Amino acid sequence: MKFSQKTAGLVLLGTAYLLSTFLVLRRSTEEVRSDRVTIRICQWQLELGVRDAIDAIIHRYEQLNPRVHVIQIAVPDSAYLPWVQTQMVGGTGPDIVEYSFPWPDTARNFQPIDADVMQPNPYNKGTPLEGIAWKDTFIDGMISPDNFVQSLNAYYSVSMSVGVPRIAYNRQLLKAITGSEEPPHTYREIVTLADRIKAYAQVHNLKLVPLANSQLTHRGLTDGLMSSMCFYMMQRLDVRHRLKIDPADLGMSYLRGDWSYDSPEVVEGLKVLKEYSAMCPPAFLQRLRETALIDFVAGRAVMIVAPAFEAGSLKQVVSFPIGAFRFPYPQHDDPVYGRYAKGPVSEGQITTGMPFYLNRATRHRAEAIDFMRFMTSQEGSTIFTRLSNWMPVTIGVKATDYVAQFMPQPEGYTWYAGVTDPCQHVDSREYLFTEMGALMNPDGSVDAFRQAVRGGLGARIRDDLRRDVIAGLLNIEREDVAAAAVVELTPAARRPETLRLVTVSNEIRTYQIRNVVAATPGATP
Amino acid sequence: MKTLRFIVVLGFAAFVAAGAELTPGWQALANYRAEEALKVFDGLLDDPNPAVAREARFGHAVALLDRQPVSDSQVAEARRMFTELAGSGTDDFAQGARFYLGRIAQHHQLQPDPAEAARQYRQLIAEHADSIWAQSALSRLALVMIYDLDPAVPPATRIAEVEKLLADAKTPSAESELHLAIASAIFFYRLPSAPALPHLLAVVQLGRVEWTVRSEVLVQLAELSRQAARKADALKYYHMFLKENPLDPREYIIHERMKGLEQPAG
Repeated sequence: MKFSQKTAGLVLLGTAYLLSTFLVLRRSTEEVRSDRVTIRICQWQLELGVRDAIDAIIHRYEQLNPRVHVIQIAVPDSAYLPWVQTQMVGGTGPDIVEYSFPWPDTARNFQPIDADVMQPNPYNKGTPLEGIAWKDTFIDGMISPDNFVQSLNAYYSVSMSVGVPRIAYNRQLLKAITGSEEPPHTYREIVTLADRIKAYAQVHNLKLVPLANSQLTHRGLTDGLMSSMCFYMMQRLDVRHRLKIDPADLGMSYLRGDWSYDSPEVVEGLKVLKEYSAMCPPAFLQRLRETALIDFVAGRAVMIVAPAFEAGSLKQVVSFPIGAFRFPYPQHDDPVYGRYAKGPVSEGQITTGMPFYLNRATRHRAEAIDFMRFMTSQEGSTIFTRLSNWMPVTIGVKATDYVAQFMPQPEGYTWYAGVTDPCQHVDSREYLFTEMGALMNPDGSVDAFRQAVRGGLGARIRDDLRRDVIAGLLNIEREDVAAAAVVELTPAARRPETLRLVTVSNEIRTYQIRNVVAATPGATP
Repeated sequence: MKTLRFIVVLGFAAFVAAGAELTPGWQALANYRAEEALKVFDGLLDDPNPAVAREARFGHAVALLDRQPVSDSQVAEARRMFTELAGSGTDDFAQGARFYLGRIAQHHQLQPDPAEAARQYRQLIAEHADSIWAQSALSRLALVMIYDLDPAVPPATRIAEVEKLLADAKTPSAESELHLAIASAIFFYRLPSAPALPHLLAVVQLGRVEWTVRSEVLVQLAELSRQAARKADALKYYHMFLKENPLDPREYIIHERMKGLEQPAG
């Protein structure tokens, strides 16, 4: 008997349908039959080791709590946000969701956990953290903008990790070239090392570059280098006297004509970027993160720009011993850039990441909170860091020596916002990084880049700030409604002094940004 | 007499029971579920108990401001209901309705109407100065006056007008919000910074701001004191900031500032 192609296709389709039905039914009936409560947690960290670490945490948690079944849903980052939004709108969102505060609808999708974070974490019983409020068991005291969402004035999530970009290097290769495994300590040393590696490659006819890099991984380092050169300019821009420039402050001051890519500090910073990009493969701005990784693994690069989230994967895929160090920024004693460079540069507040939020519509709040407590307890965090090779964020949990190299160094100067991401929004950031080719490609130059962005950046910043205004207004409108509800649900004698609207400081910001956006470029509103 | 007492008790019980029926509506609104809240409020719009019916109308109008998708006609319907409530009594719902008439003109309608927002807020403050609605309206009126009402008036004049509102603040929260609004405006319009100092000081002394704002205000107080050569004050606020925010990365530069202040002159 002969099957036509059409029949074979139909049989295949039918089989796939039956298999899907079986899998769906099996999952549904398991939930229905079970006397256990099932909760679901979703996340997008598909890097090697992370899923295994969460599975191990789940396994241990279920041993301690046989009544609760936890399912991990790992979704690729490219599809993650639309997936989460669809699930939340459809009412089928997981109980615990990895999310991020700048994403939309935090208040509608998730519930505050203020009361919970003030209580001790029971899973820390018997440890030095016993009896301490949950929020104070994190290395940053839960002040990350993801944990305490300032626009909503409440705690919303708990974090699992923290990290910054590092330069990982091939110890064997470095020793073969320089005779030592010691990494460079100053900006001049890394410039010299890069030249030496290039010369070595030429002499030995090798396809070898000093620093593997990619369109994604270069950004953190690029921003750090610019920050190291812009200290004095930021100090001038601090008209609110807070020793701090918010991204919106930086965007507004650009539109008010207070700085540009022609400001002397910024021009010097661009010169540093030009030098650093010469250490990387010629077309690294077009290269994917994975391509850079392949260069490093194959021994075609001595060093690689490695974000902390890559630390675990790196260790598993290379066959040679690796070390890691912080890229040495120019300092005040640098013979070329010392006039503007001001160091040490802080790697910022230790603000934790990989935050997990609690679904506002969860039917298993108690179980979900309990699992979040276990994940972030000393035991849970130890399992996590051991298997993922990611930094732990629970006080007292020790990272391995290798992972500790990716720990942020907060000591030093920081102004929070950076000129390569002036509003922390997509339009201006992507515009700048797209134009970076005019600077970082082999035929690029500082002047070409300045020329390229001079006419286009203002419009992008304006669009980005408009987004801030829209988000601010939506926040105001939504909280107006909730404020009335809070008043009506509170007995008259216990009413607050004023309504719980959006905080006045948040409303002020919306007004200020709106006025700057509406004003003529370069003008004072 | 017994019958009368029975009728009063029965009436009170009915009142409480009917009022309690609105609670799920408010709970739904507190959880941003306007559609669900509307179902609860709509069922009681014609309740024989006038107080319950007024509350249901108030709840209905509030929910309209958040039922998705929010349209201009929906906001107009909310404005109509609030206008009716505000004009037909002096109770809590009338005051709340007046507040939301101000809010709609300020933010909710497609084309904001700052003059109308200011008019509603001023009437509310004049008629019910002590109420939570009026006290909340004060800082929002201040923002309308500073940023929106009359851009032709120099910022310093606008700010001076807003300072007069401080006399109407009856609660520490309302006063604190006003001081914060004034100080922020001084920085935003790049006016001489020194006059912001007493306002920031009041914010800290009143103790009503959230910790995120308090930490910023402490740095501002220290920096402005340093610039005004008030060394002891500067050190005091730097110390307070560091004690309350030990993990803040500004710790490094603040220590540097403090070292500069502690060095003997010359």
